[in-house]
Amino acid sequence: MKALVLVARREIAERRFVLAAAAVASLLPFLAPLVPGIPASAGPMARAVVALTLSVTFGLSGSLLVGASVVGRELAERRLGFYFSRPLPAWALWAGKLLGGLLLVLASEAVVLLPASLASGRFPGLWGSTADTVALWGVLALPLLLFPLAWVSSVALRSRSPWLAVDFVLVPVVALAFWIPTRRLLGHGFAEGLPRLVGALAALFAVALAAATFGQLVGGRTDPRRGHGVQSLVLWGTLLAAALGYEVWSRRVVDPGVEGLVTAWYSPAGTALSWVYVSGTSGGSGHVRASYLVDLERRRSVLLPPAWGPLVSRDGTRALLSAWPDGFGSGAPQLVALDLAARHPASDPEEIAPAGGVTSYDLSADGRSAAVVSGDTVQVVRLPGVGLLASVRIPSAAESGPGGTRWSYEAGFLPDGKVRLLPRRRLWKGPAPDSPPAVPPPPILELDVAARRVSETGRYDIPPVSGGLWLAADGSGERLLVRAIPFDRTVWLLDARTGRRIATFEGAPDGKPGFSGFLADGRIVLLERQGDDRQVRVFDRDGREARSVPLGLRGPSVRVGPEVAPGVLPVAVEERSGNRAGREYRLVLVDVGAGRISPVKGDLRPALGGDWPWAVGLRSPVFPGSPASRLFLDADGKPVLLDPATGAIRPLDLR
Amino acid sequence: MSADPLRLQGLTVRYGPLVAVDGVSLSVGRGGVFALLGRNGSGKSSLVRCVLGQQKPTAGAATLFGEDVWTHRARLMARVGVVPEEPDAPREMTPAELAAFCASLSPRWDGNAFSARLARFGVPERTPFSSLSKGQRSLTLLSLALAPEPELIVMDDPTLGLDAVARRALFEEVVTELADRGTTVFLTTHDIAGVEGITDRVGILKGGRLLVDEEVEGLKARWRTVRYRSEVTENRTDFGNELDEMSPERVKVRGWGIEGVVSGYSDEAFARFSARDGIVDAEASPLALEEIFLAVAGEEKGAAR
Repeated sequence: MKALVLVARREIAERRFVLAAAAVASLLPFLAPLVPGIPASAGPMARAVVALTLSVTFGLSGSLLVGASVVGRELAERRLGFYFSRPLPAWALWAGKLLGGLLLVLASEAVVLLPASLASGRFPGLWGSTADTVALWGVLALPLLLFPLAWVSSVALRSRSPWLAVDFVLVPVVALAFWIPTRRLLGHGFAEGLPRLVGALAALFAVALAAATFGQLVGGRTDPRRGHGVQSLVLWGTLLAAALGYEVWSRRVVDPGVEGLVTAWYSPAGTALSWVYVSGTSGGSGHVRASYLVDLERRRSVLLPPAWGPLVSRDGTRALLSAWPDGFGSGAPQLVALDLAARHPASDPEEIAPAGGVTSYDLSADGRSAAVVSGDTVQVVRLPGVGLLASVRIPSAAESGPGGTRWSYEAGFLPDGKVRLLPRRRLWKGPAPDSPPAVPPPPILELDVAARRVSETGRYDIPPVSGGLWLAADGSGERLLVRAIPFDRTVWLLDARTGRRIATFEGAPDGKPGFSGFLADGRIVLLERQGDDRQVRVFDRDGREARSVPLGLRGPSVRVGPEVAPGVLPVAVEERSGNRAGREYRLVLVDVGAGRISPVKGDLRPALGGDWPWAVGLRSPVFPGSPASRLFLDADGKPVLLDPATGAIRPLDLR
Repeated sequence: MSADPLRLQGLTVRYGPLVAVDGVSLSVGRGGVFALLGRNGSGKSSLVRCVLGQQKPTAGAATLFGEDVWTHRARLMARVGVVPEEPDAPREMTPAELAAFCASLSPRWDGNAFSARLARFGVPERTPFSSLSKGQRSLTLLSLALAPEPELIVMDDPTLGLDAVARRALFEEVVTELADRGTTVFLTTHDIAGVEGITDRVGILKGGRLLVDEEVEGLKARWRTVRYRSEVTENRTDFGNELDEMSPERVKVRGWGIEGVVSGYSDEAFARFSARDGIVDAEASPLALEEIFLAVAGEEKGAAR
């Protein structure tokens, strides 16, 4: 240690003129406010900007100049022998030169910045925001990277050894090796952790460069060629090994596997019985959102490109989703189709349309046709190949209502191949008004694909609404549950084709609106909250109330899952609020036919569902008893499969 | 028995295809003075860097006091004083600062002796190293090398570029050190005349190979210049082949007769040679070390025949 300090002191003493120059430069910022044209109020800012500029200039140029001369020049002039002729450990010589040079450069930065900082009361901040200060520290810390870089470069250029050719070859190779995983991460939306990643990579390069300088001086001593050789081996070996690790890590971050997701959201992927969509954040510091389509039947998962709203055809052969096929930031998002029968479905997506204007889409049961509503046009294309079968304008979707509104339509294939178009959301040209006037929704339409004609089949038999509509279709698509947004106590049961009202369900006067949906056999269930308690109300296909089942469950929120068996609904109530890790759920299975409630052991909650139901839009509910219906999350948020008959739980074992 | 202060075993240094040092083996005993002679480019400096643990040999080993110098360099350098070929101390440091720096690293440091030597040499203590003359720089480094009272001094052509006064001062200091402390010395030099009086063993390096490694007395005893006239002219195939018994290294025909440099001289062999028919006026005279060096390293053997 004594030798280290001795060498470091000598390095600083040798270049003490740098500190003297910095001291002189530190006075220049105080002249900045005197420059004509700078108002008095901007004087402190001008002083701080000049001080920072000078400080960074000293840091960057100093690290390059000192770094290049600290060993490279002595090596070329054969002056290193002086040190190696003394009882001075090589590591101490290396550490002393590195420490001395870095301290000199960093001290020169501080010397330049200090007077202006003292005057302004901030070091090294300029604009007062934390982000700026962090960035500023990053810039001021650049010598930690540039100093060893200059050292390494200087030795490489002065040694005149054949290793220079190796260096020139490996520079682009290593750059590419680091760019590939970086591009992968950026393509998967690695944005939140980007500053930390940049910092980590900079630190990695600084460490690799410092290790290379260590190898050069300790392994090569006064032999320039040998030193360059050791330096290159250490530098490129370290960086290539790190690049390999980075590659593995980046692959893991963008594809952690469903079980590897730290937090995950599950939703049914359309009408396919066994497919679910899982999206969550990967572990570690990646903060990457990874999304999968999971075939629970075949225990298979498909990593998706950055995407939203996937929909799988009922036969499970094709998926439709909005995605950035080449990663975030690479062009505009597209509505794409994936062939799920392919070995790597996500590697060859079929682009159907720009996703920006798409408001609704659906896949036919066999996955061979896609209906896409974009603006006031509905298109139907054949898959694969994206052959246009029909493109028809929806006049009522373009009409302007009061306040410049129009309606978006929800598309859904019918068993006969036609496409039903249901008005769903009111769209405003500008920001939505606080209290929009109520208007009657436009007509229900059907698209005859073969005839390429849209025809009106009816209108919702409901009062005018001020916002949009919440829709849920039964398994056959013949009936609709409709609620006005924002929710009130009323739910309408309508004929999906004509809009004829079949029944109206009014919630209890003191009740709060909750879950509503179809069971697979066509019955309707409503979940109401009354006081602290909740009850499930069951209606037959015609809307007649059949039963009311008090749950006796109290808690701040409830999750209702799809039928785990015909007529059996899982309901989980959060028993204790708090942070996410502190949540606990109590799960019961509600036999809506018998009015029986069976508690399930274990802190489980339905993976599909929540306050929002498991059947969305026109998509049919998950088939009772299918693996998707039996998917639950345990206390750790990990997916498990529940056997409703025995209460047995087994982990989701995906291949 | 303590190990030799310096030992080389099959030391080889290669720079790509170029062999700078080719399997050199030698040892220097305690208190010995070994002068390694060689022309420019003969591999002396590469060898010295290996001896000092500054360069890793391609093959073979260099040991100081029985320890591998590449592995234990830092510890061994506490027992070694070094005078390099080119004065390599940091330019801006004064001799006094250099002494302070080195003293902090050395377990022993005789600061008074250092100052006294500088005074003797006429080297100012407060002048930056780069402002000193070449001779002053070399003498400063010699003073730095001697101040820690080393057991071994390694000097790489220390008098290169020095004037006669500086050369003499340097060698006198070394002689004094030898007399006072019996320090072992290993040096390379072009100044053969300068070291002739102080070295007791020499090595001659040529093309990286050690051609000679011998006590000076023995070396000088077997090298002679033999001058004679030959009255036998029949059946001569070449001049001087009558010297073959004494291993002629170089033979020249002069106007007055024949002059040969032999490396296998002995009084008995010379007596037999002198008694041969037709050999008249034979006389043998000793060679200076420099002449021996020139004969070994200067030209190809027999080139002047």
